[in-house]
Amino acid sequence: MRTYMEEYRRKLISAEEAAKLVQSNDIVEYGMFATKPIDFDQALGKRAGDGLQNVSIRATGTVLPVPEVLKCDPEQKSFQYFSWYFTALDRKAADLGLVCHAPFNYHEATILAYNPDFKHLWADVWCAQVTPMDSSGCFNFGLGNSHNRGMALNSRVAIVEVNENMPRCLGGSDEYVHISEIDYIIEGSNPPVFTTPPAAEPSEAERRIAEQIVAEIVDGACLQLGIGALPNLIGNMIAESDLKDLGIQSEMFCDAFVKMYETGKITNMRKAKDINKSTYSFSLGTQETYDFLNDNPRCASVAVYDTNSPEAVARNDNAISINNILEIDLLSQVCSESYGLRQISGTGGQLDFVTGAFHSKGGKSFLAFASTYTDSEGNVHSRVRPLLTPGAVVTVPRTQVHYVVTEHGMANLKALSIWGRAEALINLAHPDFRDELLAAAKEMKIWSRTNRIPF
Amino acid sequence: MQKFSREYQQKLVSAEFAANLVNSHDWVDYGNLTGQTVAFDEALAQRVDELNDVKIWTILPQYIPKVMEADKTGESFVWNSWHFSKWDRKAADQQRAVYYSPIRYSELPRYIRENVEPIDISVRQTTPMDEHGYFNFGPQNSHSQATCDRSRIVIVEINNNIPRCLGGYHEAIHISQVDYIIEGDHPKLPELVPATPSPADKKVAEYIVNELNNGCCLQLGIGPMPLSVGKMIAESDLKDLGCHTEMLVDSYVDMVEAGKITGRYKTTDPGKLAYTFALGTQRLYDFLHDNPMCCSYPVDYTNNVRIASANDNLITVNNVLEVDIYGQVCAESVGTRHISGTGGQLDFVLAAYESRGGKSFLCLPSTYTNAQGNVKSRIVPILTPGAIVTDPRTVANYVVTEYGIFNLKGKSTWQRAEGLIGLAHPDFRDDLIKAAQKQNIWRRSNKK
Repeated sequence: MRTYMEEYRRKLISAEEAAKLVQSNDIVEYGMFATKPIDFDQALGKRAGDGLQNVSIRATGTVLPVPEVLKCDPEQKSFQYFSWYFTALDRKAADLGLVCHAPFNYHEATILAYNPDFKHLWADVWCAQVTPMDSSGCFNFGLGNSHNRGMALNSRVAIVEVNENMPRCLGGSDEYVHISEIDYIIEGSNPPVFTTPPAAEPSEAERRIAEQIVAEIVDGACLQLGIGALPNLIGNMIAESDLKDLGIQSEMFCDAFVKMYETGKITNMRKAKDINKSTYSFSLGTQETYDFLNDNPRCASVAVYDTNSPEAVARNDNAISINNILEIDLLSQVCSESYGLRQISGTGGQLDFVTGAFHSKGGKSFLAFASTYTDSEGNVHSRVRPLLTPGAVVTVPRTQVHYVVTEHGMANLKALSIWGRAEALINLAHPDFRDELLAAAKEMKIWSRTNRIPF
Repeated sequence: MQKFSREYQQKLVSAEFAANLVNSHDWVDYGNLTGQTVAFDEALAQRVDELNDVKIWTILPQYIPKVMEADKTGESFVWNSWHFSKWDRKAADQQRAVYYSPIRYSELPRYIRENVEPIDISVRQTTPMDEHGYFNFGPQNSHSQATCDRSRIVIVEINNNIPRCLGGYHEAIHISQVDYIIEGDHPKLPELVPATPSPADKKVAEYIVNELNNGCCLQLGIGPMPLSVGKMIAESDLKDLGCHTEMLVDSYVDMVEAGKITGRYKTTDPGKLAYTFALGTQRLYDFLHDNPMCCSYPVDYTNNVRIASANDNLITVNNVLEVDIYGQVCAESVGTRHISGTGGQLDFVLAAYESRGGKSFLCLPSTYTNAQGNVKSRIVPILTPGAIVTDPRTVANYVVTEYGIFNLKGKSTWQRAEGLIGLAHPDFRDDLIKAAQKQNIWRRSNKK
């Protein structure tokens, strides 16, 4: 059989040589989440101020270590940095004016990467961490499938940065790039792959939210869980429940899924596609989760379109989507991604799954939140508000919202009138805030005087 | 691996132990194609005198099983094949207890789950267990998972030479679903080397390659003619082809190595070669091993008309044996002598016509030479009595011989007669026209 070693040697370059391929005015796409390049980024960071100008770095969910292109260029002489999805790191850098958010519905990332209508946005240089090459000449995208392959195929220069610690995540779809499809190879310094700290202990409010949601899940349901203490708690509760034959189709593969596998809850046998496999597009979690994913035929890494597009979500019956939100107003508009003007995360796949789950037979989406939060000065605020904080971005329009859950209850907002929504949401708010919300509703003329509204 | 080693040791048995689990009147599944059991078969054959009426399932076997050699009477072991190979044919010719079971291949997993009698024991060769406790079915996904799900006892027979064929899905079974493990002698996989293409095969291939466009999605069967098609494509200017097929053959390796297959325009599994089984040379098996460009699916995915036809410009190429001048196609028997099976031919003929821009090609050399040395036409007035209609005339699309290519869709009986006679060898055309006149499907105005 043909081997690719000759081609490999021909394409192998140092990180410094790779960084030199970047020219002024280039768009440089970094690998998503844990596939963000490390050695290439270091070498590129060193070029700050060497005459390189107006290079746009585009990342997705920046994780540690802090990108050198940010650290080395605080005055943005050479680089400007964009992120399709904000993490804590992106947030902090944005507070310093160093990062700009680029909004998308996550499933559209695949379309943006492949559809020639967006050619002007394709990267000049693409670089991501990958596994070492396999015997078929393929590099696996490991923990970040997302839209890496499309970006790689359609960039002017495609560079892989090999990291021996990257798990090999079997496909699925779009999980690899072949050596003939890339231009250069960097053999990286094999740093440990980014892992998340263990999830925080769930609060009492989160526990009550989780209980209500788990009660709504039926055998054979197909789940999407996000990141954080609540999804983790829900996963653990499911693991200890009597539920069976659950399926997974989730943009992110999270730690809780491993626990659910261990107790035999996940068989994926009722899925419409990728039967017997959990499909996901990226993973962030502990090393234990990464070891579970490595070379595991029970899981399939797929392009984000295949997990997130509403049609892909809807083709499974009983699709269940669970996501966190930040605030909701009495008009039932949902903001999940910003505090006023401060970008916190992104739309990500939230709208994708809310839309898709409603179209799935038996499907439900749950937008969950603790009814209050405490700010840095120690003041308690309601997350149910008369109107969204000015500057807040509507992540889920009120027409799309399905179930909303707090520790005080659950409401299905579909088909409710404005009066009905206001009433339902006030009942989900913390009792301490209900009176003022009621007064606001009356003021806004969205309160029924008759108290006899059927919906 | 560590995690499952205790369970592995508990389930590990000798082939003799496994063979002793079989009782008279049992239904036993032997696995598929190159993954058919070897060690278990040898041990079971030893029990020929103790057992009777053991019914065995297989599909397209690539070697003669020892049970058939041991049992000359058919009293102990009855062989049931979902698709005949040359071994089945030979045994059937000798009046042995070998029977064909008709299928539309896409439906086979459902037959297994819903319609066959319960399976007592299934045994198939697999790869060694991986670190997550999975045994990969190798290049014979087909209906393996359905069979294991339907079997009372599931046995895997380890063979280190079986390539690990990545999914897709249903490409592997977890140790928790396995009852016993046999460690076999790790035989090499049987190879199927197509005959050298004849000038007629090459001419047919030329007609077909002329009909292809950049970006089309190919299903090729086995044989010298598909081999010619693959070679010609590899040397052509075509590009960005896709592969969605029931069977993966060496031709695809030629096309991949020539850079012809990118799968860029596929709707299902873009970028990948999707297949349900593979049969060819060791080069093909090496190509498949652990290769993320290829994805192994159960046959109710690859051959599902709705899924296959979701790909635009689906081109399907299959061999047939006989076509009558009405356009009825027999691809599986010569009279009552059973040769192969319906397999996925009908699935892909249907799917190609459903695909936007899709075409199916049913190919045959215009003549054959029989055992007595006489040359016969494969285009006939009416099918040989006993011939099985594989593709009804309403379904057949393009028919190709070395004399041309003819599209049956939308054609009246007299147009079909004229078109198909035009594909026959010139020596037979006059007789065919006479027959057509007698059958009242020849118009006076027809060209001669």
